[in-house]
Amino acid sequence: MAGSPEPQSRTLPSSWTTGDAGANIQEALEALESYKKKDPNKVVVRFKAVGNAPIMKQNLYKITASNRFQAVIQFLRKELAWKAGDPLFTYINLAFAPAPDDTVSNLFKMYTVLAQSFATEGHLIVNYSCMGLRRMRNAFPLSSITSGDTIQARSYDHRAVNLISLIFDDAL
Amino acid sequence: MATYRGSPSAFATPASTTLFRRLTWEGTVPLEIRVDSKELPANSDRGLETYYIQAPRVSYLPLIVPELKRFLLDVVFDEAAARIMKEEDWWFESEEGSLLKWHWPLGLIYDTHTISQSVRPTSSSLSQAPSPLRLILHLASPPTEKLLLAPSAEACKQAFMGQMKEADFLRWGSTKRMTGLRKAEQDGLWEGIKEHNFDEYWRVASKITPTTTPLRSQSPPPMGAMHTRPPSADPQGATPDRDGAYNVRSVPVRIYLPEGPVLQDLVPPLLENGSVHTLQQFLSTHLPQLFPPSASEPPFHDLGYALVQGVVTPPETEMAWLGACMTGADGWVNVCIGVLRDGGQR
Repeated sequence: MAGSPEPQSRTLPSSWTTGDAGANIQEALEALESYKKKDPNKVVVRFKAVGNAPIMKQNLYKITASNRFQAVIQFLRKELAWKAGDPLFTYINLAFAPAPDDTVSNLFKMYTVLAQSFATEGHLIVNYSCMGLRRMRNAFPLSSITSGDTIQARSYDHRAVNLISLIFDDAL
Repeated sequence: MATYRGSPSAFATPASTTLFRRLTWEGTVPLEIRVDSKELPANSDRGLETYYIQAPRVSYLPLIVPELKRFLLDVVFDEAAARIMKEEDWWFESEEGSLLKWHWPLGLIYDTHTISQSVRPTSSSLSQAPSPLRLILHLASPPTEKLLLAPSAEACKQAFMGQMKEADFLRWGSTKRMTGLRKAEQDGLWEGIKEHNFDEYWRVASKITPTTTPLRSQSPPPMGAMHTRPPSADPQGATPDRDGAYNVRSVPVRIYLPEGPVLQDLVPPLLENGSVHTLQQFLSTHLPQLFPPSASEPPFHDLGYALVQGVVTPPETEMAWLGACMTGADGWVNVCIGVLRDGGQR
């Protein structure tokens, strides 16, 4: 164990003992090779704009499962024609921002299954915005809107409506 | 901390929970950081450019940069070099040439290195003391394409917050607990890691980390025979702990294979037949070639072993318990799988 001063051999408890050593290592290495095989399947990713981010003309895409999430971010930037310096925030199910080296296959496996209750129809939902969620929530403090208030709708307000529904959404 | 309504099991008292959380927090890994000799500025004091540090497992590379910088300025670089040094351009590589991830905790970086050594044919068994992980520090031209994340403490903090939220979401299906924290509290988590202060970190983390609740009746069960009853069947009439480790939807777990993929899947605390989800069952479900399902009773004939926080974890360990007591600071249980070598020794 790290920090322990014992330098002597660390044998495993007997319940972990293996049989024929050489053959076992070979078998283990072969098993590892099979686990390294990349998933060739594609998963459906649905991009949803949040706040005043522009809505994409086409928002459903098939992406190879073995891709890292970084590839999804780069793809999104290209589709939106946003430069590397422009702020782009991405979230899964409006809940959290995944690490760029998370694979699409892991994200799909984890968050499509769990989100069935949110009726996501088997898509991995990727939300994107140019502002972080906390800043957005701070920009529209709950105290300034009470239920029953009429909210003036204006021309660009499909996005505003999207944002208002976010504020009252439990997922936030 | 969990409050009691029945006799505490030997395995889930607040004292033992705190003990394991503190052991995890205080765990360290030895690092040996050497500046790439081709990049040492002129007039540097050569021969002294290696820095040794016993770094906390729960910390991150950007957080040890300030200490490293002070050392290099004091001992190695002359004034001219110090003036032009830009730590935003710093990046780390392992001795084998792989780029190090800034957003991975140091314990994870060390353990994944350990397991990748376990598949090298020339590696001797780990019968000697843990050896330092040798890193090369580059001072310029960071490969920004491959780095994925800006190598700054701020980007690292954001990545950390993202991992906390993902863990929260996995456990409870929403991030209410994380987003319910005030900004100062969220920042307090990161400050606790920066200052390496257990109390400061856990003051906030205890609000979002699952508690351990005794599920069992009075006497602790014999080793290897963990029969449990759901909280509602407890004869003492204990009310189930809403935040209990056995009530999560899924324990946040990732499996790391040597130089291989990172696997993630749902890890319910209890299996469909009501039994507690153990590490052995988890591994034989997801890596059956290394942990054959037929060997889920002792003696196990596994081809690999599992490291959590650098500790070879016993097969009967409960996943829910790991999720409450041995997560990293970011809430995740990182299980690193190594290959067993001769006769039970790693």
